[in-house]
Amino acid sequence: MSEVVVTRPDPRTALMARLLRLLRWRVWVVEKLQPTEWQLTLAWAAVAGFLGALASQGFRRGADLIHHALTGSDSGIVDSFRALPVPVRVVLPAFGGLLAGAILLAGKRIAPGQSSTDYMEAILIGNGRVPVRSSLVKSTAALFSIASGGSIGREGPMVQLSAVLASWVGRWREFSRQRLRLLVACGAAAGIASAYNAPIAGSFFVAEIILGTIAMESLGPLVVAAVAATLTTRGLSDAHTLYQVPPFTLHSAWEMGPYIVLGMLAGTVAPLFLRSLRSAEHVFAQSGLPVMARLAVGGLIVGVLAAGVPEVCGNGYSVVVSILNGGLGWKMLLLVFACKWLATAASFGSGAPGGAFTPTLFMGASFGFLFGHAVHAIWPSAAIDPQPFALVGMGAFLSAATQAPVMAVIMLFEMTLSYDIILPLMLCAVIAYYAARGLSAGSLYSESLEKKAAAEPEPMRGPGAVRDLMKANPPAVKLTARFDEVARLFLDASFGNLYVVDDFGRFIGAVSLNDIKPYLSDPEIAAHVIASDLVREDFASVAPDQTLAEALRSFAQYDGQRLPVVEKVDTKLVGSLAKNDLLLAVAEQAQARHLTKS
Amino acid sequence: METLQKLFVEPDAVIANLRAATGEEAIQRLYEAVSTRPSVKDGEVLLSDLRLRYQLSTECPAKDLAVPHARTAGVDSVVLAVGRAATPIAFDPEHPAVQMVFLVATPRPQVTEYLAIVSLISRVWRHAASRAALLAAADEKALRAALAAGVEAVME
Repeated sequence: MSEVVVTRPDPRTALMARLLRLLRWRVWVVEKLQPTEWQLTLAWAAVAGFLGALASQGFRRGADLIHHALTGSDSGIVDSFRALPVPVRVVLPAFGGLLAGAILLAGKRIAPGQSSTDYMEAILIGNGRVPVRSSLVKSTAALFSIASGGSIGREGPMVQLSAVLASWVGRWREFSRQRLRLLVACGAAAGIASAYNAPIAGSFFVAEIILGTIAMESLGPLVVAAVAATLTTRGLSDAHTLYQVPPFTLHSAWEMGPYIVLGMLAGTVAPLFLRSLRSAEHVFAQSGLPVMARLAVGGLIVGVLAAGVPEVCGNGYSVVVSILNGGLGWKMLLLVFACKWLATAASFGSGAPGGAFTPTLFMGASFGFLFGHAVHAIWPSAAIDPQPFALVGMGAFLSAATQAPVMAVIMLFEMTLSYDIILPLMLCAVIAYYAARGLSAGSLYSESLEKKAAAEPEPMRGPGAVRDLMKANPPAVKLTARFDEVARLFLDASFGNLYVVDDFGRFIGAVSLNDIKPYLSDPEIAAHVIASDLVREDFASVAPDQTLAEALRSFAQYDGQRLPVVEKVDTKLVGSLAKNDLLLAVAEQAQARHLTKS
Repeated sequence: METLQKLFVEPDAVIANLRAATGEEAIQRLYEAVSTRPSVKDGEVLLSDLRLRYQLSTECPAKDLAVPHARTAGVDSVVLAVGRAATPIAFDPEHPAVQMVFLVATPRPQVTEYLAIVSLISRVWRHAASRAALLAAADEKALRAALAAGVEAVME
């Protein structure tokens, strides 16, 4: 039996022992729960998803409330307009435009000088900062233009609001520029997922159209945000499959022939549709009208069209449902198609805040249905039913307009849950994409983004060197720092390695949490071990002027999440570089190269 | 861990009557005792690093125990020298009566080995019977036996 002498420790030793015991438990807890930077990114992506869904639901309810206040009806926009007297149909969208314009004008006083609110711009060519006040002003204006019957999508502002919240959260958490932009992208994915009840499409929309990559570094957080948003939306509302469609059967391979033609035609018409929107924008801009008058005129055009064809109002959702279920004859649809085109150009061109995504779906559905009907008239066995052509037309038109065929296929599949349609849909989407690219290099989003990028007085330069990405003032200790100070800093910094510098701030090496962990309960060690005893001098580092590719090579030889950034000449520790930020920046560079080439 | 225990049982040098008035002298004596060992590839570097560390901060985990140490390029593998003071050593201003000195030198990359041996020394010293045996050992042989017994006791 061993004897143990019981002596009363001096107060300082007792205090140290108590502190170390506490630290040991805290390190244990932190280590067990300590998330890596990737896990943290995923967690914040989920938060962005949740908040995005709340924002989307809030906007949806807000639009319904204002719609009820303006029309006295709880029905959809098209049904409400049908029930209104003709003079009201004419005036209401103009009145809504006037109100939206007034809000935008007032907003300029509330948020003067704030930069662009466009979330895509913030992700692609900006720094991830989406101004909150001007975004709220724009969204409020959108509520009026949408609720008063404007031929514009309400999903755009929902996505915008979701992205704003994500940007706000990222700024609050002081995210690096790369992580902030990724979080805004997560917000956008969440907005799309909750707007269309389509989490896969939400993720791929942002990955394919905005980020231009489906690398897991960005796709993973997008998926998490989209799933969180969809779950929240389903919890808060009766979210369901957006378009209920009748079953579709492909009777023979020959039926693919008309679909190939549909793909080519959709790929030709979609760029024309986009061009018409831009032309309308140009005409309104050239008119010199003040914003209120411009929006009122845009609304008035919609109102005049709605007097005869109320189907032009709103985003076109209810009309698409009707087309897909055979509720509209081809003559009527031809009229609606032409009027809706004009109405969308008027709303979009006048600057009515809202999105053009859902109206694009409408154009595709009607175009596909009309094409299917024509084929049926000429060759009945090749198009037994024109409704599947409407469905495939939506996908093809979307693919051509957004130049994102993968997203288009996934979105159509997710919105209809019709797997039978997948073969013609895939083929048609790809053909439409190539046809559209042959005619025009721009997509629904790329053109305005390119203009904005060119108009930037000081274009945002992508990170070219480690210096651009590093985080300054990383936690570090001096060589003489005592063991308890080292342990305490580990808890505060939640990193696996703590940098050690000399009295002149020169980098010496790093203390690894793994090395000291077993000795946290040893008061004697704590009493006389200092950072100098623990530092590993062979710790990898990168220099601030190294390229990202060189830094990536350094990370390839190092199994950690963060490297110290050390000046080459005087070996001073100037910052730390997170692997997460580096990978995101490299992915962005690849995207930028791709854009430059195209 | 086994290697370290073995090293503790068979240190590179054991001085039963270490004569030194200060910490620097104690370090010098113990260094001299191990400087010719095969593990020591550069004695000057070892001594310099030991002195450098001595100047940085206290090396006494207890009021009567000193563990001068260095992670140094001067050794190939862990080196341990043990000295029991003939008369209490004024190791540093805060520790005027050190009775036992363990000199530890480890190769630079071996952080965990360094911590392990320092921890082992502390535990043996905390163990009252072992500590008493170390202080009462009549000669070098008895001191080596006390070290072996001390390691065995704390490993039980």
